[in-house]
Amino acid sequence: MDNIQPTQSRRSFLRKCALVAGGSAAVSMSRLGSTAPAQAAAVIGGKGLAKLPKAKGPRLVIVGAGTSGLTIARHAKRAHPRFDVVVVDKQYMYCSCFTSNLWYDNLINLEFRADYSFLDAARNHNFIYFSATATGLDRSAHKLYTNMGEIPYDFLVVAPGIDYDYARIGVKEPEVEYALRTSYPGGFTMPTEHVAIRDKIHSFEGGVFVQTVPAGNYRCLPAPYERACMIASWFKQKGIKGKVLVLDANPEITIKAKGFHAAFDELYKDIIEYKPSVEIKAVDPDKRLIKTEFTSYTFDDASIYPGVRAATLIEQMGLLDPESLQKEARIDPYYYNVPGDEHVYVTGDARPMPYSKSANTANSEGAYVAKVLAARAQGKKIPWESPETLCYSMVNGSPTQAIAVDAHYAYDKKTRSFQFANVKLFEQRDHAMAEAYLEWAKGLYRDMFA
Amino acid sequence: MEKKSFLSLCAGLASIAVAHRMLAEAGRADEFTKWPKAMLADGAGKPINARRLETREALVFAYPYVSTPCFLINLGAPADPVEVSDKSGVSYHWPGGAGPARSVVAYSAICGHLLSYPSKRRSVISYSSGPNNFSGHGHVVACCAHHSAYDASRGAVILSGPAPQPLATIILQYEPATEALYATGVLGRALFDDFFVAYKKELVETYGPGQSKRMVEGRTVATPLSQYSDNVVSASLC
Ligand SMILES: Cc1cc2nc3c(=O)[nH]c(=O)nc-3n(C[C@H](O)[C@H](O)[C@H](O)COP(=O)(O)OP(=O)(O)OC[C@H]3O[C@@H](n4cnc5c(N)ncnc54)[C@H](O)[C@@H]3O)c2cc1C
Ligand code: FES
Repeated sequence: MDNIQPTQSRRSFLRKCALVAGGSAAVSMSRLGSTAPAQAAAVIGGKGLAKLPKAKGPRLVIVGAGTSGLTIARHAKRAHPRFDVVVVDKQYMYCSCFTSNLWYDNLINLEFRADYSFLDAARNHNFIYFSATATGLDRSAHKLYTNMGEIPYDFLVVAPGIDYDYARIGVKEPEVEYALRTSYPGGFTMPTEHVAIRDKIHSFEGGVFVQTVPAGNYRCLPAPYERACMIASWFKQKGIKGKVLVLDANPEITIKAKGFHAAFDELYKDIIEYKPSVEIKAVDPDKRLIKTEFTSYTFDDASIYPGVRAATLIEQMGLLDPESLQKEARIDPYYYNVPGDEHVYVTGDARPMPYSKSANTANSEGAYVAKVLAARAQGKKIPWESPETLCYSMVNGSPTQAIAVDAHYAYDKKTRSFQFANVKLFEQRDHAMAEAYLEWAKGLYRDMFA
Repeated sequence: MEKKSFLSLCAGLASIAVAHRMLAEAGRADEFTKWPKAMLADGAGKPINARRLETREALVFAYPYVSTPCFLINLGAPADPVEVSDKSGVSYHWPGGAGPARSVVAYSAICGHLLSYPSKRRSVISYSSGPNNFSGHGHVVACCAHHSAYDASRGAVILSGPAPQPLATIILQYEPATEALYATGVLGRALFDDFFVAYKKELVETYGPGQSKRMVEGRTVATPLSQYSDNVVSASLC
């Protein structure tokens, strides 16, 4: 398996595995040694230098105050206090994507997800929070461009997360895309989507509610199935005569399949209908119709999760791997830097490695990347550490019961691919796991903000 | 309270416990902080009897602050001293078990990873005498938030999971005459400052303004974890 395209292998990875050990994924190794020429800025915004305090040490600029960016900010500063860290984000307020499914079932309140301030994070972790939108990058001049001016950097981490790719479900016209974004949001990017989805669920009066599951390495593999459970749990508790139709592009539930099937069958037999291998070819938002090659499904309401790609910023900055189906960055899979440039890094869900795009992955990876940056700032080397994907899913809202998976990754030289390692599955739903889930999330919020 | 040189402390204070002498012998003073001595008491305020301590679950007591929880654990077998070191290079001599059978140990119950701790509402950190799922070890304190496991019989060194450092040890003094146990100080990184920052709001709510940083005075009540917390996630699970 020479020079495998990451995206192809990622697909096969997901197909094959449903998270069983032995599932494999690859990232092209042969291209990584090459030195990529520094690119000129793709997009430039703002005029002159951003108004920032003078750097007191090597400036580490981090784009994205999400799970990845905030974890790196904290740990890099701890590992190398000389770093002068600037975190840039375009959002005015934090509200986590992870745990949003629990909010639909009122298992947590909004504060649980949003009661965290970028200012507290900056004060507690001794960095500068700069509210701005990154617009471009000049790697030869070591400059980040934002709508609020340029920021020179010694090290730059780009952690902008994901965007949707509607073309992957056959939607090419902007009119249709925006009708879907507005009326049937996927709920995997902005908090404003979560508010809209909760409103849909809580005002649902009966009929068919569709939850789609995309193909590829989409953000948070179990989350669409978890959401189906949370919606069904709501219908059950409120006596709503509704059906949750799960249309899955994959041939089988992609992760924790046993635990989800058990929940679907035992808790929501008359509510959840699961349909695998549903490759969506088109959606008609006006007629509320989802079309595949052979059939079509009508719905009363829906959350349509299209394909996923790395945030468009990766492309705007010229960091895209042209061979990547999910438009992810091209980086060294061990040290996260752009090949040939040890000053620029891409982390979190925008990474090309086939790791699960989840908060725990971004958090554990962030702690490691912080050490890489600290080491490199001091001319040192450190050994590679695998990220850890510990992912809980709530399958029952009353009483709360969850399932979980915990996995690391290892690079297999023979197959030249990353594989899951030390996989532990907890597929027997239980209440203790639900308690652990809430504390898991709180731990992450603490790492990012406290 | 500032860290004191353990050696000078030992030279000056005759009343310091046996465990402290062992520390002094080890010659590593930096990682030890002496705190006001507190007797471990039961719910009625009587001394906990070191001979009759539960072996299946940990007891929770506050020390050295009224808000900082610790585990009191009877391993059911003697624990020998060991050298403890963490990933950041901190190292110290752990004095082993206290009590008549040298089987009683105590640790801060604030997880060395992201500070989960036992509260009345929930505890995802607990002790299991039998093997836990991830580490395969018995005598384990495990935090199921992100699956860190610590070896309770060896100074709470990390067995598995993301924690970068062991749980801090609470130094115990055993008084054979009364069979009572006393907490006298903390060995290792206690993370109290991080704890107070991370839980500021929660602590104000639970203890009232300005109350959570009060020191334990004289005695501290040790309660079985299953009674202390409404929801305990068993260490054996993760
Ligand atoms: C519904 C849902 C459920 C989930 N459930 C779980 C779960 O149970 N368990 C789990 O582990 N994970 C879960 N996740 C996944 C998890 O939230 C993400 O994988 C994780 O947050 C990724 O971190 P990140 O830092 O890469 O991206 P993000 O957290 O999305 O952060 C990216 C940041 O970059 C900023 N940004 C983007 N572009 C720019 C720009 N041009 N300029 C400035 N700033 C910019 C954004 O504003 C954002 O703040 C879930 C996600 C969702 C949506
Ligand atoms: S807080 Fe204990 S393992 Fe993370």
